[in-house]
Amino acid sequence: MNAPPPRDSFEAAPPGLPNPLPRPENEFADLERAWKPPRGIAFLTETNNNFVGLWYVGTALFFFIAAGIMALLMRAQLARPENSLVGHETYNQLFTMHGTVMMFLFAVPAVEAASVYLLPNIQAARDLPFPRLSAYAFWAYFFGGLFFLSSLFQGVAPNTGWFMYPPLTSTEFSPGVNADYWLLGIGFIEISAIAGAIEIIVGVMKTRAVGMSLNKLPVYSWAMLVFAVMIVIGFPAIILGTILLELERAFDWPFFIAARGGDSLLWQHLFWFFGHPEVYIIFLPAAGMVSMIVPSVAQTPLVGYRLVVLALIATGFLSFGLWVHHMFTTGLPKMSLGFFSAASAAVAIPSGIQVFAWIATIASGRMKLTTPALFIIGFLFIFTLGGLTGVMVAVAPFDWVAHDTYFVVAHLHYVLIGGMVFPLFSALYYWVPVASKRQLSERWGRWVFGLMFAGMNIAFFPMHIAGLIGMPRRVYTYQPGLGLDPYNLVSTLGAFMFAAGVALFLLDMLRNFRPGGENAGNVWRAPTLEWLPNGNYNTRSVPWIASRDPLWDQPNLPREVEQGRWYLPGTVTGRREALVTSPIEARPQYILVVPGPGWAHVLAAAFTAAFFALLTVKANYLALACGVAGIACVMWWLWQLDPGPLAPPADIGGGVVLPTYATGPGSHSWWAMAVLMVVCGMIYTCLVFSYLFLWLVNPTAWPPAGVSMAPGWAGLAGIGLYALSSLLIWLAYRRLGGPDHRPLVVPVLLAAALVPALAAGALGLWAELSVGLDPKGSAYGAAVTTMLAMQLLFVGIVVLMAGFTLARWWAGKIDRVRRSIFDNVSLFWHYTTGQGIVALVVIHGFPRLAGGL
Amino acid sequence: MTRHSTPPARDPVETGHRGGAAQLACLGLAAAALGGCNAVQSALHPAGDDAALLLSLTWLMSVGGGAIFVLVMVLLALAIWVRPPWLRRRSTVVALGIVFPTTVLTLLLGYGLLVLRSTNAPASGDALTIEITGEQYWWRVRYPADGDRPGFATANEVQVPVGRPVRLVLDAADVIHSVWIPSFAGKMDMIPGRRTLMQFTPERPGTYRGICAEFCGEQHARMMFDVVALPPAEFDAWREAQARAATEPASDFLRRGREIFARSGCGSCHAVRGAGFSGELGPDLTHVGSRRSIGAGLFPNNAGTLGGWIADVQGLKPGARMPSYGSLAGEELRALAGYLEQLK
Amino acid sequence: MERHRPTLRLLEATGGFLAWGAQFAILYMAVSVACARGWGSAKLLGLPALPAVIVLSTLAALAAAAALLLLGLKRRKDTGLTASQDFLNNVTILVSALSLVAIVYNALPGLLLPSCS
Repeated sequence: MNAPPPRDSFEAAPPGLPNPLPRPENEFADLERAWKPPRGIAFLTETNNNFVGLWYVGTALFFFIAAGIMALLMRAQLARPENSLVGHETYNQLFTMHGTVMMFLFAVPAVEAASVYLLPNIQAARDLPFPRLSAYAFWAYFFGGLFFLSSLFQGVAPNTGWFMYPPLTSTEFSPGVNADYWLLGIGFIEISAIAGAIEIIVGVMKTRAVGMSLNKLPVYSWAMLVFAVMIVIGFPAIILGTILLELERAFDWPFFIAARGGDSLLWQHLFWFFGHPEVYIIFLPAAGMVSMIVPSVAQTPLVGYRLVVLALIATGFLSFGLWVHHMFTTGLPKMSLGFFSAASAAVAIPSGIQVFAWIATIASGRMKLTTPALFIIGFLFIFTLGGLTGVMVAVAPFDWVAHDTYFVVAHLHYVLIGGMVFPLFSALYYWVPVASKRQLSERWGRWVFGLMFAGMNIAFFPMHIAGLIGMPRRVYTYQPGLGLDPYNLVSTLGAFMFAAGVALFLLDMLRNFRPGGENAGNVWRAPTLEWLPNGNYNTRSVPWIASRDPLWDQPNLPREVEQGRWYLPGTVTGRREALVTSPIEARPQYILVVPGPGWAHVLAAAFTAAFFALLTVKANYLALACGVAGIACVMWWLWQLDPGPLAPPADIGGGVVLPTYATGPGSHSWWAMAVLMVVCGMIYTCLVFSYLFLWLVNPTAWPPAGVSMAPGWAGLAGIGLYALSSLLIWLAYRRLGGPDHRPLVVPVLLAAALVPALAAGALGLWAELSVGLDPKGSAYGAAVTTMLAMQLLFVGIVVLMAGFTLARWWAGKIDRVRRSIFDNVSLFWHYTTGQGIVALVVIHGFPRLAGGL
Repeated sequence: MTRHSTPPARDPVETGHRGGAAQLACLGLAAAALGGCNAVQSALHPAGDDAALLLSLTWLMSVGGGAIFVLVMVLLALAIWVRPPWLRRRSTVVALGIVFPTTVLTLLLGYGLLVLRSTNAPASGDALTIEITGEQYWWRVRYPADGDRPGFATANEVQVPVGRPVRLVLDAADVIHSVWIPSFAGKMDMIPGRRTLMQFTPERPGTYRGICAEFCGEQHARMMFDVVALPPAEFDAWREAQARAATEPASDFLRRGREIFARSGCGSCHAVRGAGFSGELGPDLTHVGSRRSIGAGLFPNNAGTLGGWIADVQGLKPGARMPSYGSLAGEELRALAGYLEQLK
Repeated sequence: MERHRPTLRLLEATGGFLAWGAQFAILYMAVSVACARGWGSAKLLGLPALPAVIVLSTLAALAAAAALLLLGLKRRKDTGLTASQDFLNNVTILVSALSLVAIVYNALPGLLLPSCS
């Protein structure tokens, strides 16, 4: 960074407001122009979080309604025993889709969508750091989600449960395309979630208001940070699981088929290692929202801020130690079950901390019973009850009674509806005034709350009892005479009551929600920054904040911000910009020129969704074409990035001079690449886990009898080649930082580094195939082939990246200063060679060390 | 007898529940006791050692959980309307949010682990071993040889002696299933390629239900079996009868039924020991007439329901692995059903 | 960037749970492998191997978490910390304390349950 260093710390207020009045004549007009959305159909190319966030939330609510209607059909069928309203085939599709759509197309996207809208506003950032990435994530979700939902109307929806256990989901027992819809349909959701996670981590850590140091970070930002890290650690398990199951279905590679060395429990481990954190991924953002709403409605600061932050971090970690509690009945050793019982009990403590912090905050203020407050009370009631039944099922022997019965259905709906839907509705009523000219009706809101609260309890409480008196889950009917009839009938009535509440809410939204222009203002007298006067550019200037409740402690802030008295009141480069700040103290570091609207990411998303959709219906060549087109669009999108410094370092106010470009560790793109590498690392770790798990369940021999291992020299050679490739890239990286502005040796070294990497990738796979390794013949074969094939895929991605980088070099778009793309590529390169070395060490080393055990 | 195109009138498996007045009484009882009106498939009506211990655990946690819930709601109400100073302090959050849960959870976890230790505990040497294999959508049951008593195969019904430990050895032939007999124990999955064990001691004689508790496909909802607990002497008699070869048909009509059984190829899937049929794909029918229900717990067992099942199994339980024999009707069907009914 | 080694501070702040995670992983892997391979009653240097692994990994995790807790408590007296550094230090203390509970919880099954059943 080539600018005079800014102040070390912004703990104390800057002396005087940074930017004096009157502001230059064109400053505001330039700002508005840079942030003006495109007109006509090109409006869909907009990337501004304020628009994308609303589209995203709206789509999530659409899927909520769709899955809700599925539930009503199910409840209607179950209202009477031996009912024939809906046949078994349809019912099995309904319950599978209800769960899948709720979990994958509603719950996670809704909280992610809310954060796309809210996070920059709460932190007074102009936008997220990678707006095109979140827009891409939205469009992929939109197109892909609609395609997935359409399977129900075609009668080929997945019908084996949202948890998709093999062998039921193997080709032998599910020959139809239903399971493929799930496996490939969820693919783009996984991409969306990872993209969102990258966005949020970098957004929370790097784009905050000045002086918003970690101790002043809004609880919502903390919650989203933990949420995003959990996605990064947890989602890869399901990404790998779906890849393995699809490989088994498409190519007969027996990961989960016991007869050839596979094991259905492998799927369960992968699925639930993701699946349990998933529910906390869903809950934590809601808890974060509650921590913002409660202080505001009680008009008093949050009690126990540090305890709440502790609770969020603790939940994040502990939730990864729970997953086998979904497998308590699979016959694992009791001590193993005990570990998961223990952790499942421990995780209740952080939830308890938060509940009592909220109660203490309410007691410290004067809570007016507005609609957001009512939904908070409803949340506390329902979620506490759900949490307590959760502690019950955490005790393994009780779970042996309750597992796979309606008791668990009751529990999970109490924690999910209580813990996520109610906070979401509170958030909708609470934050609509930020986005809309009118707030929602308080009078109608009471009815919405009453119907939803009563309906929910009437629907789900009886299920606790129904489960204990013998009603299993996932049944399309039940016999009379077992005492289940009254409970089911009552549940059905409650479900329709709940739906009536939601319907009333939708009507009110239609009546009152008016986005796009002025907003209703700070109707709740809330303390946080999303309530500052804002426009498309969010706030006119980026403030310095003194505390966690800036609007209460700095009453002049709204006026000052609007007048442009604070930092970066205009646009330095004439384009859209955001202020990047340091992760702990939130010192301004540089000006980030954020990409604006464009077609590349929209088309990339459409082609991504098309790729998965066409693979599902087995139109493989067309799928390949769309995949290539999608990659081309991504290249087109990336080509427009990394503009280099577009202007010399500029004064954002108060003598703080910042560069308009940054590279290297600490830059936003470096952070994003680092997070991406963690995701890839987790995927590969899960693959290595799968390999080791398969060893564990194949006690006789490893490799199995009749299967040969590739010669050891091939492994050593591969390791050497990967190391060489990394060395060459490292040399290029060093030379680019040298005195030469565009040293020719850099592209030469880059091209040269490709050779050993490609050779190593090919050698790894060839060595195995040459000794006759058959991925269909054994789970060992399938695992080894997948490890090497995935590695080869990564090498292929590196080749693409190298080609892209060389093209940029040739076009003069990389040099000593403008080197972000090169830096990111070299990071990924080292990751790939490292992954290759790990693969070879495991494949060649492990059987030789432990094969006899 | 006519061929049934709709399911026959139901005679519920458990006793004493007929008519509207009884229904109402049941409802009232249910409301009062929350126990439901059945005692055959309910974890709230234990008939064995494990189930009893699990029920005490259930009550303990329900009462405790309920008390904590009420406490939290009272504190919330206080916070909203009374706002006492002690409820506003950070130290209260620490006390209620950390100290209190940690204490309660430690005690609960300790007790829970001890219950984990005692339930599904390895059965002693004199346990009765029964092997059950989950199939789509029925239960293959095998009693291995026990001392000098010979082994035998049956299906969809398990009988056990009261007071003697039982060890169920479970596995699955196709996909994952799960055995749950709420009156006796917690559930255990049946996983292809793995063997799991369920161990308990029945204590109260009676007829109970087991159900499949892991989604296993189209007709998962209709996969049940009967569990009968008998005094030891009666159990021995039952066992001895089951081990014998099939009864000889006593009349021409019934012999004709056996001939139709052979002619229709039933023996390629079903075994009838002693009559020369040894198919292994479907349930063993040697003593099918002695079972309480057919279709894996679906219908009561009599010649009428047997006939209806054979003629239209796909209409009654679509997706079951047995095809419908719609070509059989009238006399022939009655004879076949009669033959099966007398295989006691 | 800040001069006070933010990566190290973040590691300290989450270290208690990292120790818990390591203990958890070791315990679960040890029991899974031992029971799957029939080594439930194997001996290590004359002592039962599996309980030894449980006890040693638990003690190690407790020691790590306790060390971080003490480090955090000691650092509270440092007056030169910024508000964020003080905050991170508080988080370190709270996380380390709670992770001690989690580590003990996780060891309980090792004490109360038979090795492989």
